[in-house]
Amino acid sequence: MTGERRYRAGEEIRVHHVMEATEPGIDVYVMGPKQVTDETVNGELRTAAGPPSADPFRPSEYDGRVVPGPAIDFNYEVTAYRFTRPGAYQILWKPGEWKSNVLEIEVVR
Amino acid sequence: MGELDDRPAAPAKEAKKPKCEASATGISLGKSGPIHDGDEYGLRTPINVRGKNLKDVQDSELVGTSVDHTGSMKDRPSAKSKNSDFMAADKIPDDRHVSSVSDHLDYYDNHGGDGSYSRLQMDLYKIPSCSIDTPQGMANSGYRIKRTVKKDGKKVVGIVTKTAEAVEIDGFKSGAGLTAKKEAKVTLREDAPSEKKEKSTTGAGPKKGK
Repeated sequence: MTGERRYRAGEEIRVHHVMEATEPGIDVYVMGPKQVTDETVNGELRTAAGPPSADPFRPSEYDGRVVPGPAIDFNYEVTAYRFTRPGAYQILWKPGEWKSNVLEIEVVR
Repeated sequence: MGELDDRPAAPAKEAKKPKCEASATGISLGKSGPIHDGDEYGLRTPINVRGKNLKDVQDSELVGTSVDHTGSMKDRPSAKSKNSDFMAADKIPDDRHVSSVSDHLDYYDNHGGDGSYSRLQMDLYKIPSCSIDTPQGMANSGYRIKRTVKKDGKKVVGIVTKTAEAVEIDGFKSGAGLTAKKEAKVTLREDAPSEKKEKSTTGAGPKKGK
């Protein structure tokens, strides 16, 4: 999620990440902030690619509490972008087989 | 219609401040056990916050960057410090201390055999009902989580220990936790590769041919 949908060219756009486990039986690894991987802008990868994994939300190395679902995890790093060219931008977070909502950002002069 | 009572009102009693009795004094660990599902292994430890009126206490766990890398784990990059959000201290979920089996065997096989590293852990608390709104280090919540990979007879084993220790993490301090030690030992591979013999340079070995 972002604070606004419309930004001025060159203005910083900060993207916050939330994972929601909607069902029981899903473990949520709440320690963080965790690195955000596999985020694209207009289809182009703009963060590191995540390692191949059956569950991209399960860290390969972990210390700390694990909350049973249903639960919400806000403990991810914030990504930031500055677009100098006005126009429409789509930001998508897609770890593994999962996809976030698409952020439709409008950048104006 | 009744008569109005125009007598002067009795002086109001000074409002009594609610007594602040909530506290968070330390962390003990419940009955712990190993984790091993083929992909990951480690130690599971139930967390018990000690104190009073714990439903009024907010607790967060803080885990420091990895330290004291030895042997094959010297090549392993240091892990970053992490923390949880604050949550009610009377409903803390279990801790898990897990690693990837293949990752640890890779360090064992390709970086020099036995090795270890540690991370320090403590808890922070807030008690809004007592006007403690900024995070405080909890007195006896410090632990060291140590991971060791080593040859054990013909096996390669992974050992995870959680030991009470006074710690300082990101500027917060805590005394040693209230439980002395928990440990899990897991077989990562049944057959440890035999040590490589050095090549002979004397030419004294058996020779084939003329």
